[in-house]
Amino acid sequence: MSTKEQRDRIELLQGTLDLLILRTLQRGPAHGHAIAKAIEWNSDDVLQVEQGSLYPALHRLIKRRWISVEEGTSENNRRAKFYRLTANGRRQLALETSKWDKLAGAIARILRPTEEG
Amino acid sequence: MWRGRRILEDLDQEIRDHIEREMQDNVERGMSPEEARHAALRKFGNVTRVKEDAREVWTIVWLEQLLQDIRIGLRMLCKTPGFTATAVFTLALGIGANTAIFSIFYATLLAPFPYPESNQLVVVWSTVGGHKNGVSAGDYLDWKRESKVFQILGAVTGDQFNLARPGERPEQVEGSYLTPGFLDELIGDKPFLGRYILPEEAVPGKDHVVVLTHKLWQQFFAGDSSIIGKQIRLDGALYTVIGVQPPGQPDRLGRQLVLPMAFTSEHPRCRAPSTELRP
Repeated sequence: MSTKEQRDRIELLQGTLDLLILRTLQRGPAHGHAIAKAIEWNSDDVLQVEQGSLYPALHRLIKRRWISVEEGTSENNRRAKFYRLTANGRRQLALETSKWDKLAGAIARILRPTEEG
Repeated sequence: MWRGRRILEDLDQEIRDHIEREMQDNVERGMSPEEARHAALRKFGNVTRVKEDAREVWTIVWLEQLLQDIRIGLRMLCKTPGFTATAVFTLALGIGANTAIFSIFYATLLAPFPYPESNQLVVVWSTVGGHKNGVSAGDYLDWKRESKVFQILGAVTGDQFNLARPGERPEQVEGSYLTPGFLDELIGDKPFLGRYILPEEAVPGKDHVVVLTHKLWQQFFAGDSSIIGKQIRLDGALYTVIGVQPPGQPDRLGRQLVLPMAFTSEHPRCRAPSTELRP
């Protein structure tokens, strides 16, 4: 059943979706579908996001006050909910990004010790 | 929670919009509307689970379920008032009866005697023909003088009196004759007002003093704080009030006043409660 395309896709690690949403919203407010599209686009379709799982994640972030939600009009003049990064969220993004860099770097060094020289 | 409710209310519409947008994108990529719709739904995943997960972010689920259960329970009870009334009545009766029986059980069997070292307290009776009988004054005085078994020996007997107050109807009250030291030394009671009976007052001619219970003092003398030293009329004779007992336990004994027991031929019998010296 699984095609080659599907095999090459990677399931998201626990918690990374939150980070990707925050990163996406750094470029400005967006509605749910646009966030999903942006994540797919920017990862060259490698990251496999079940689009629905975006919404519980968005609610989680609102609850933590890292993003806010407001009514707005989408590109084709339809009402939509727009999510916006808050100051708290910006700080959290910086923190999470540096944590992620450290983790990725550490794992890379362990997996490929020779390449590090 | 309330912030969440707003967002949750709009979630359905938001999900519909999302799938529609995805469908639109698919159509633009050349899919047939039917294909586009299926692909969009597939990509979105399980809508119901998404909604549940979102709701779970905002609520403590078990608490909500508990409240729901309680609401359903109350509704069911309201639907069947007859059954509810019967059940409530049965429970009330059961709890009430249980409480009443336990109260009696506790007071009579479990509660400690409200006296100090009550395990050393005994009641002494005479026996006549193998049956319990009151103690004669002579026996009491002999025991008091000669027995080394008791730490304190006191005697009690009761009578009824007519208590008359000026300008008011006389009332019948219950009184006890007690030997000196009975209230303070034997029972360990402390007067609320004034003092208790002195040994020199247990002598015929000097025995016209009276100790009132708190209840009698309240009911008949309106809690008059200058009662000590005043005279009251019992069976036509004047008695000086020397003390008032504390409220509470003494009021539950049934007696309303205490007089000194002065031994004359009028006191042929008495019970003699005492404190034991050795167990």
